[in-house]
Amino acid sequence: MSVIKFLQKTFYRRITNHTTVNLKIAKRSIQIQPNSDRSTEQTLINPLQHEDYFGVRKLVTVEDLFNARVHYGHKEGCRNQNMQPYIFGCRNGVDVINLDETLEHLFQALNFLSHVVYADGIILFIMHSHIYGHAVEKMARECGEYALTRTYYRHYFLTPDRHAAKLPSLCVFLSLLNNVNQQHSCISDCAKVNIPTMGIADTNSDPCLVTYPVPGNDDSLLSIELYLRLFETCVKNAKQKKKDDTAHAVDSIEKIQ
Amino acid sequence: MTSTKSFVWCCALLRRCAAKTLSPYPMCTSNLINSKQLLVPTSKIRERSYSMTDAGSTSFAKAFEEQEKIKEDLNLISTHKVPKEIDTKTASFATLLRYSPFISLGDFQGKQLYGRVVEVLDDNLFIDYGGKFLCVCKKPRDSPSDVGPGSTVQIKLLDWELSARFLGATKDITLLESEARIFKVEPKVSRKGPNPVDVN
Repeated sequence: MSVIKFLQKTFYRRITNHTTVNLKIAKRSIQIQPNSDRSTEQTLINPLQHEDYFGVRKLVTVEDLFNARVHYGHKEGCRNQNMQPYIFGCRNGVDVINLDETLEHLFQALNFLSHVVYADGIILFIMHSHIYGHAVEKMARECGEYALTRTYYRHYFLTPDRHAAKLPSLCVFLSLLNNVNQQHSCISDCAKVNIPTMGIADTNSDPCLVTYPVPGNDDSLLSIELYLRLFETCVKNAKQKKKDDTAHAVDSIEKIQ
Repeated sequence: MTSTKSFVWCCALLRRCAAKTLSPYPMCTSNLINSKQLLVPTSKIRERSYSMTDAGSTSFAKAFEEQEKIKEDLNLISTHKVPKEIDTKTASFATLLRYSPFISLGDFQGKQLYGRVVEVLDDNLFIDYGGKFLCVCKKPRDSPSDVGPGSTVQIKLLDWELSARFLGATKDITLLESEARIFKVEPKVSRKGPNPVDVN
């Protein structure tokens, strides 16, 4: 157990509450120096040095997004001006989201999610919807993380009881709006307490305060199921990868010693 | 501003009432329209049946075979022509969109489409026709008794999304629903059996 703790402290910075995760800074500061005294085999793995350590780019294609109706937006009257860069065009009054943009944003988001899970972070899935709430809760339970599908109150994040509650490391929004089509108040609260956010931004949502926005449809069942499947896969893969890497590192260190 | 706010709250209240009565289990994806069957207008099917009678096929067996073929085609056809050189696995989004039923459908207003029932609540049918939202229609009085999730219906689409700009508002208020009118609920019969073609 002590070997594992030593590894966690030295080679990978734990992402805890109130720590802003900045991958670019982390990449510069963590550098692996192969020790010339010992064997040349690198025993310490740094996932941050890899472009796509968790193979997130193989999970989904533009065709999958297309068949899941991710490109359907709301009517042009509902459009939020901040979504304009992600909108491909407007056909018969219906906004069409550019899936090439969506795919790139989705890869960034899934990669970040995987890294947070790898660093033992706590994920909170948020979706204030009567229709899809149960599906989100079920998915969160299955991958061992948490979900909030009811009304969010400001005091949840802004005045937590420090002895009882722990704030999440990352908030994943399946929809940036609450049940009355207003911006979810949790988004601004996350920004206030330095919790990174990730969210599916439909054409009527405001993606500004979200750290990793993913433009896409949040109203069709097929789209929501696709996102849930992707998030679940990423969380499970990252946890498995963590187990494997820790076991591999422990074996390597024992071999040297 | 207050009128729009109160309207929004009314909608939320209605939805909350509806949610309490809806079943707690998530909707089954298998009841949703297969991607290949998206937005299939019914008019294309009727055109075929008229051309069959015009061709003057007198034998009943021949007519029966044609009927079967039409029913089989329903599952495979798209109403648009996708060029053979397009590979959907490597195509860009623009190409996929250009050759999608969404574009070839044209104007949604008044289009007659095939839909599939996803949920039944009292005498309301929640129908998926391949669009962004489901449409909610009253069950017709002359519909078969075994109408349930998975039944095929023919609908006339009136609105892709029910949204409107109210006085004093900066953005539209949306009901997150499509509007359509059912004109036929198809009975659950085996594919092999003859089905009378709808003559409207």
